[in-house]
Amino acid sequence: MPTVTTPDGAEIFYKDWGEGRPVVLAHGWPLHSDSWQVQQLFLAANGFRAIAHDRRGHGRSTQTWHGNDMDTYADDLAHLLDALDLRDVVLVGFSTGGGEVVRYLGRHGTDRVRGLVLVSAVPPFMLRTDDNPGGVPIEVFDEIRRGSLADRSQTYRDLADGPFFGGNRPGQEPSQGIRDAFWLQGLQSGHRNALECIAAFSATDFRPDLDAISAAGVATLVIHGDDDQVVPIDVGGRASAERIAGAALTVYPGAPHGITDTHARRLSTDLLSFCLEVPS
Amino acid sequence: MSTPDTVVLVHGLWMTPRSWEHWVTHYEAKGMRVLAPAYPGFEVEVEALREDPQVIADLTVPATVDHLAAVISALDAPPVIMGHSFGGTLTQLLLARGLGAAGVVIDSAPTEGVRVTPVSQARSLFPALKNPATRHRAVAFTPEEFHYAFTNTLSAEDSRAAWERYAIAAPGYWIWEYGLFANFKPGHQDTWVDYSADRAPLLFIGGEKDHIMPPAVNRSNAKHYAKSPALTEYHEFAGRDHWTCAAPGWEAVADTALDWALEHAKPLQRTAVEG
Repeated sequence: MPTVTTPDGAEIFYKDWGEGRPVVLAHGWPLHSDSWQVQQLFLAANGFRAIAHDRRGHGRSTQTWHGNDMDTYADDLAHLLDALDLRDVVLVGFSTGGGEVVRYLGRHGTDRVRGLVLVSAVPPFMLRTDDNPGGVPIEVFDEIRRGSLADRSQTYRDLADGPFFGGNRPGQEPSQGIRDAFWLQGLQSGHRNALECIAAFSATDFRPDLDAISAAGVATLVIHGDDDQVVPIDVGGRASAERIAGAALTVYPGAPHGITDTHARRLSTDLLSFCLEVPS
Repeated sequence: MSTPDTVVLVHGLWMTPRSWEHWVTHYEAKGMRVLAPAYPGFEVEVEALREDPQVIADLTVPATVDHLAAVISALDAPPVIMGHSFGGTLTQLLLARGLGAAGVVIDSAPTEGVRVTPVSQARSLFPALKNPATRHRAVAFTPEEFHYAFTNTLSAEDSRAAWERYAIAAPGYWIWEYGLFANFKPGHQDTWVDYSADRAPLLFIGGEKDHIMPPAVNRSNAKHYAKSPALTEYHEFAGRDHWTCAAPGWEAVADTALDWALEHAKPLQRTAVEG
């Protein structure tokens, strides 16, 4: 299996498909890179080198004890980009992966990157605090933590059946297949890794990273469903698009969080469009 | 007579038989009989197809191949079949049916199984791919899109003139099905050919600067015939774009195509005319 090894010994699994300018896809919690497989295949089949990795503690990467935080995730991503010597990269982050790529840009700069796409992403800052009053109450995340500790498998099933793909909304009928894939991928993550990742995606403040991206002038596209019950659009996509100068916002009407599956083809073509049009 | 005396020219997508007008004159001056059949329903002029593109949207590949096969079968001897772009795909399908004495495909669109997609091709096809609704519509290029996809070695002004004289919409369904997604579907699709079968000799002509059907696509398509006992060759023109059959210097392409075809054509066996 192709991996890069980080300085603390974690092996980061990645898939490297196609030829052309690179697109790197960062996945969401508690999934792994297979959650990008539709978009990765589409991009690779259309002239791009599409790379997707499993975050540490997720999928086929090492279940480390330490390092389940955004800074380490971003450093791991930096190791991957350095090891493959990728340049002119379009970084695409879904949900937690959106935090990972944004923190990468904040910590490691924009030299290797020519574009950024945030999909249902957690930046700028999910948690409700005194200076983030529009955020999500901590009780919501504590409930996910409590569920994970009590019965992780059932918690993932409930997420997949309900808010993640919008199955709890009238007219939304995510297939059994995509819900099963969520559950299967979720259980491949490490217990501690997935548990600590909840804090990483919910309690990391990405606002300084977004300001750095904005100052650097990275071409940015933000895609978000306006019925996202995991990262509400006003907390996530709309706020990021407002904070990054010149960012474009594409809203999928009525769409849930998991648009990599529920709106797979539309998302694929929107990503391809961005990759084709963003200047190198 | 041992060599074919007839050339059948098969036009590509976004085009009509009008796109062959220079070649018809050129080949007729060499003493050939030249037919440039339209896709079924495309017999009207460019302007009429722009007016009512529904006939384009409704077209299917099998109906088109059947139509062209009927035209060719009605001839008294197998002709040289030449196709440009998707006309190249159609030419390969016609040769696979045993038709033609020789084939030449220029900047050919791929047959099923050719999986090379350079980014310039994706960029060229993207106006059709970006909106899933185009799957059931006729899809036209804007002048700017046409300039990138077809006429990238021309000035914007010359490209615009070509667009105005020749360009029509294309069936979105074809671009979706035979562009990207055919390779992801199981079983044989409408553009499948048996790459190991015998057929008439076939020349692929690629153009170095072709954005929409780059040389890599044509080279890959040609290599797929490695197991066929039939002759397959590849020739590449430096500096030429997809508009190679009409862009300045097109005569060299036309002459290369015809010379190769007549040199390598299968000996004619005229169909007996029954009394």
